[in-house]
Amino acid sequence: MSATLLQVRGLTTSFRAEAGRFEAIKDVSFDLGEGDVLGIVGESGSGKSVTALSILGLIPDPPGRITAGQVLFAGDDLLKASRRRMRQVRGGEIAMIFQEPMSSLNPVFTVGDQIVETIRHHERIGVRAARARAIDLLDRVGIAIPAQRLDEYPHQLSGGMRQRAMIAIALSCNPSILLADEPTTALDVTIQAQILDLLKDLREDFRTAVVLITHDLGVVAQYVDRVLVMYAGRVVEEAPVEALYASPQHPYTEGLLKSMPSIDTDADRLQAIPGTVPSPFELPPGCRFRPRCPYARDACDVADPPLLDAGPGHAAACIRLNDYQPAARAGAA
Amino acid sequence: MIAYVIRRLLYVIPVLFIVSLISFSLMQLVPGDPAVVVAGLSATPDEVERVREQLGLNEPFYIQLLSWYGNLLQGDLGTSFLLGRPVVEVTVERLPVSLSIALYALVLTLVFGIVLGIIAALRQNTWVDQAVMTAALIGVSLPNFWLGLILIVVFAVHLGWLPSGGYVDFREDPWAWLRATTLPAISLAMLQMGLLARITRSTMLEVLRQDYIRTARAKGLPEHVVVGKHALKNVMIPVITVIGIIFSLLLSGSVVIETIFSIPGVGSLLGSAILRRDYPVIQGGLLLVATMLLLLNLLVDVLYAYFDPRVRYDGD
Repeated sequence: MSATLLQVRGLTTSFRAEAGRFEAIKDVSFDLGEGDVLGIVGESGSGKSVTALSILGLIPDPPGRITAGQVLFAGDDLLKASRRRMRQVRGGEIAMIFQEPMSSLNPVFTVGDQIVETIRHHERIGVRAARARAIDLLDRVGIAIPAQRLDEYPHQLSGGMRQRAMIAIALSCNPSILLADEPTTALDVTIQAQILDLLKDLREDFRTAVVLITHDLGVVAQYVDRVLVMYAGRVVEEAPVEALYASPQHPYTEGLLKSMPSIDTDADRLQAIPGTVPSPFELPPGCRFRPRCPYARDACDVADPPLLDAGPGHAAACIRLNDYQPAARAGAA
Repeated sequence: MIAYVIRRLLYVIPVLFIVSLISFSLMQLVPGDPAVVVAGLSATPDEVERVREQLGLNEPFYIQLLSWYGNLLQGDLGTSFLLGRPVVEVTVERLPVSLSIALYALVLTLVFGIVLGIIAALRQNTWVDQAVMTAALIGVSLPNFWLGLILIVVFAVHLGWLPSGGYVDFREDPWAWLRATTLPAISLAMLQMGLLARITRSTMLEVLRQDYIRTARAKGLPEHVVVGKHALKNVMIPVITVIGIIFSLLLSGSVVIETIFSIPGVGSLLGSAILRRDYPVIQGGLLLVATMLLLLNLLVDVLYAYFDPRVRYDGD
């Protein structure tokens, strides 16, 4: 791995709900190196988006609050950074694109205006120069007749084009990290592939590190170097992509892979993981996956296991690894 | 867009025709005889009959109506029974008075309504929000004539800061105009201000939850740009829609308010014309008010297209 850009340590974000506070993500840690592509995988509600939004300090407060952890970037802990510094980071050094290209662009401003304002908020540059760069960016992300599209409104563009425009906005200030939160989920399959290929090309051109959030393991296999699997707000497995597919160590990952349709094996039925994700208010006492786990044993109830070493760059939160003996919560958690 | 505006302007004609037909017919049904009012209480039945003939009120309804339309086409709205002057002249000289006050009230409504609504939304569920919303509720609930009287008692009678009534032309003395119109404008604007503050607040809260606001923040824009540019332009869309309604409330409110503040505007003219059955003035005044509302609605629709690029009027 190349020089580390971003270090997330023990990130914990909680939300206030009517039934009380709950932790949407707990103790999330990972490193991101220059030009890396890290995939974060998990079901809806597993905390993938909250992780990305927490990094940029975009969790709406109230009801959300980051209660613990560090986000180390360029020598700063972003969780302690001033508002001014955060505004520099957002869109300038760490950019983000979202799941819904339909609603993520402001309907009442032109695409050009939304790109130009981003550039002009981060750099001292004239309107003309910013417009020229916006045209160039639209061209780079594969939008035809960019000079004309610049003065169009989002509703005049197709879904794929809007996501391309979002990517153009995100790349406008040459960020070192791009957080892509399910960028293709809302798009047609053919457009999905185009957008992912675009991200891949742009990563090579701009040398941008990408955090690709998705629930699609197929996407992960094709576009990602390293994977973080999240379940019920926790990272349950982290591995290089080949290792993850070859030898998943956490039963949840195993279940996810088994539930994927494959052309090679001729299966009549897909295997689903039994049960559902626990409500954040009713987490089991020990391992969060315990109620759905085919390997569950009594020791699983004792404590939620930490990430345990499972090979080079590979870790999983399962007590079956290395004959781990969970200690009761009496001592340090 | 231009074709659209022309088409809308053509629609104004049938609408005005219907408005005048309805108001003309209604007046025939209203009890009270203008001839008696004009002739005076001490007049003999013969004198009243003579006056009725003079005013053309002895003609059948459809003759009166047709001659009224005939004159209208020549730009003649008839002559006031009581003032003895052409209706066009009387209303046109009073129109700037009413319009200046209505515009003043509209500006107050827009500025305070929108600003207070935004403040309340940004401070949602704090005491600021509650204070603004309570004030808005009170504003909506106060009858404007009562508010006008209270304002006169406090600011004109007790404190003596502002005149209790009357009107000075803006071109003559802007300061005196401002002093004369402030209390009436506030009395007129209070209801609409409360209404607008509530609409703005709820719209703003809705807009702030949208994905594109999160995008704006993720781009590193400062909060004043996120709210003042990205949110505000979206908030303005429903606000523009209610401006038409607000202006019609301002005009109808002016009948009472101009009477209370003894302001020589179209409102007080209409008020007294109604009380004294001065048919030509009522007819002409209603036509004028209806025309203004129709034009204003057209303006609102044009503005709408500016604020919401998804709205298109051409090519349908």
